[in-house]
Amino acid sequence: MSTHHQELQILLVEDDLADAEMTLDALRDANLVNEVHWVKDGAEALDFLFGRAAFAGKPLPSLKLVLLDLHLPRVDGLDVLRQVRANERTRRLPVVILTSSRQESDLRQGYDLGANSYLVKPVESEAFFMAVRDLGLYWMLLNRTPGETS
Amino acid sequence: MNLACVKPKGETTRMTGWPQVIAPHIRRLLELLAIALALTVGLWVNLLAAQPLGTPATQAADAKPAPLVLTEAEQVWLQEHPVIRVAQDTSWAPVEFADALGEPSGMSADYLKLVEQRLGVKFQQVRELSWFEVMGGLQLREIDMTTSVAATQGNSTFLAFTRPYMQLPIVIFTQMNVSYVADLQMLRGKKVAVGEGYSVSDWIARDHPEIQLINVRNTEEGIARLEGGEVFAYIDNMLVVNYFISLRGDVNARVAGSTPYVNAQSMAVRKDWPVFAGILQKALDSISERERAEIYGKWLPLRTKYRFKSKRVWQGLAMFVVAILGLAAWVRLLYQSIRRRRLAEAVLRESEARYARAVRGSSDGLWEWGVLTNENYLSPLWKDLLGFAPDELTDHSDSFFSRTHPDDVARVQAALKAHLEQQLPYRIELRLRTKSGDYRWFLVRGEAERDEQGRAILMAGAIIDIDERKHMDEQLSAAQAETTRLLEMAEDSREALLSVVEDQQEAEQALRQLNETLERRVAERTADLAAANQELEAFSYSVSHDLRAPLRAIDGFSRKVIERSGARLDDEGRRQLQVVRDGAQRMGRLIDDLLAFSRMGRMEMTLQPVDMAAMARAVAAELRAAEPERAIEFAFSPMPTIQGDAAMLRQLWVNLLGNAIKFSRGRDPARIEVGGRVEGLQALYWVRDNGAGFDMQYAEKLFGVFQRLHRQEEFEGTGVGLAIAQRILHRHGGQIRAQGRLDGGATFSFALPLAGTNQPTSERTAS
Repeated sequence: MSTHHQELQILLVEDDLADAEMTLDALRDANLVNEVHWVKDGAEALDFLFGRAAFAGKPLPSLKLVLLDLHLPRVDGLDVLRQVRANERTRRLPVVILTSSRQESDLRQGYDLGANSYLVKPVESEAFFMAVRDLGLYWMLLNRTPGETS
Repeated sequence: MNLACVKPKGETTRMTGWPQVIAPHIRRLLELLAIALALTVGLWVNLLAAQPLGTPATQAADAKPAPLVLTEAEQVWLQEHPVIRVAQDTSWAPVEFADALGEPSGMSADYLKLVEQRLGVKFQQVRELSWFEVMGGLQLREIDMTTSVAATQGNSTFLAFTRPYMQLPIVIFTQMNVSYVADLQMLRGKKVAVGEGYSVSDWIARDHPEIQLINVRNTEEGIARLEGGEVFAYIDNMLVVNYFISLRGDVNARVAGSTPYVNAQSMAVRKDWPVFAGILQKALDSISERERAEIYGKWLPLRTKYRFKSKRVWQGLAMFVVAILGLAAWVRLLYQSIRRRRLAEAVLRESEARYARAVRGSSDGLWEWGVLTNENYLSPLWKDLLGFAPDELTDHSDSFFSRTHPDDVARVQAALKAHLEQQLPYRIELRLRTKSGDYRWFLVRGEAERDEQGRAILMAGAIIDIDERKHMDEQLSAAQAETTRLLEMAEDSREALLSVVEDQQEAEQALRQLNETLERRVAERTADLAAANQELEAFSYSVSHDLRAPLRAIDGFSRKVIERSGARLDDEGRRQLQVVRDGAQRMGRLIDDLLAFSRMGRMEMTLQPVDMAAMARAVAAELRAAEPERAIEFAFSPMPTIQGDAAMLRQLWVNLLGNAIKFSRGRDPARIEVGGRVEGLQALYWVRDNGAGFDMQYAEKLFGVFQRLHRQEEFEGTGVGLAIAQRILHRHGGQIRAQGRLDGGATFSFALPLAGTNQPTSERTAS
């Protein structure tokens, strides 16, 4: 439990339970796990981000990072990204795509829509673990976004 | 343009711009030209006119309308049902549709109005429903009737029908570039759009399950999907689609084939109201053939505008118009020259009159002939006209007769005889030989003085030189003949042009058929290939996503078990879990390699000159850096530069050099020779190592996907590298060969066509 980060600062959008668990393991290793909110599809992600449906009336999260899978039930990851970028409040929010797809078209669309990074999940679990942990550390501790007090 | 604008000959457009002095034959000529032009253009347009849109489907044959007589029970039924809710399709023009104001409109709406009139009732309209909703409403009995529906097995369960009152054939529409669809079986496996909830959708689903049906809401969507290439064909009623096409115009859709189906349209009511169906039947029966024809005529598709399809026909038409214009210009020039001559003639006539007056007042040009005495007089002018001085010619009749052109003598004598004996006027045009020996034309006139008995004693008269006018007349008749000839030529060329057009049309027809056959085959192949490629794309997409996730889970959780509970496992348990992990990781690499192999076959190629020697050195350096602990000796000799796709060729070197490094493991030092040379039209390259080699017996297997000649624990690998190498070479029009000996090293040599001769080939299907 980090004392510096009281609020939820990472949104993990992941429908695969195994991948989610491994991602959380890696974030836990980086001491970031208590700040993560995990949603299991794109629609839930949008509800969370924009305070709708189950999240109506709750204070809007002040996020520092979204880890976004692409192939999601209900609302696709690329659609989530599109809506995030279309909203004034979230358009600068760092979004890292974390997916199994190394399809050229997904890469192109992801960057076109303004993804900050695109990571293909390695099959090899050590590589996966390291990748997610480094990613979390980099975006949470090193990266700076406008409007942040440092 | 319409043939009707060519008036009957007598009324042909008057050439108002042309002066009335114009000679009648010239006017006639111009009239003929005008007619020829109008006929030609008219015929042309008729030949080229697009076929009018499909002729109407026949109406249900019931020749005589039956008088409408309702039974008492039926009348009672109508009274007991004051509210009857009717709904119609809003988007099936012209059969039934909602017009711009949302009012039900179309053929069946007109029938419905007649039915209401006959029955003296007014149905309650339920509007703005799609056809799908209309059918739903009828099933739920929220709607009582509809006006145009074909009975199917499906809808018969909740509808009672009248007999069909409209028969509308159902046809197959495709894009313009599809020539012909012989029958529905040709649509096997293709995407075909049909109206959702329309009967034809049921029929095709029942009879042709092999067709991939795509439901669309209406004709507009069907045509839009067809034009967008989302579907290969759109099947609907011909009348409806043609009506849509005629309204929108410029639609990339055509009737490409027929179906055995006909929309036999009936009115239908909810199943529990059979009495009402009977009442509607009687009302429909009372509609006369003339009323039916009126309805049909009112909604017949508009004729589309004519379209000229062939550029060449346009050019032909332009050439003909230019020819006609040229002819007209020529005739106009001719006319002007004739007018000038006519003017000269008029002047001449004036001078003739003046001369006559002069002759009356003087003795100039005068001649006298003593008929009885043969005493003659020729005035000095007479002699002058023939070029003689007064004293050079004797006043003798011979001076006249001997100088008369031999061909004219007989005429002169006959004219004289006629004048003397019958007192006919003596006025004759003849040729006289002048002093220079040339003949000139003269008009000779004279009159006899007679005695009391009426016998001629003296003839006196004058001659006038009319040579110039005569020549003009000759020219004029020559011009007339020429004009006639040209007119005939124009007519001939018009006919020739028409027959050329016909020949061309036939030839074009034959060519078009040939082209269409070829195009169809190419289109079919291309479609097959595209479909195969698309499937492959989709397949590899799902492989890349869906197969990796479980592998990651297997590997990740095995690792977790080893980390968390490894202490509680014995060595064997930990080893076994490691085997699970190795398997999962290997599977991941197999998937990656397989996808790479597949991608290599589909990738777009960009050809550019590639320095193979530099590329091979760079790749070798990279690969060696990955295994710093090994002693590897590379020997490079010069290599030809080649035209190719740099990324693919780089992959080729990675695979071949990587293999050489891998299979020479255990040699100290490993020696790898890389070289190349030009051989004829090819560039030849080789990679030779002193590694494990292989048994030549299995050389063919080397390049197959997943084919391996070594066990995994000897040399790791997926067996895809050489298959990828071969595919890269095939796409460049090259080949690869392997030579080796078990434990005696291997040589891989490949040949590529030299620049300018290589055609990249596409290897689009999976091998």
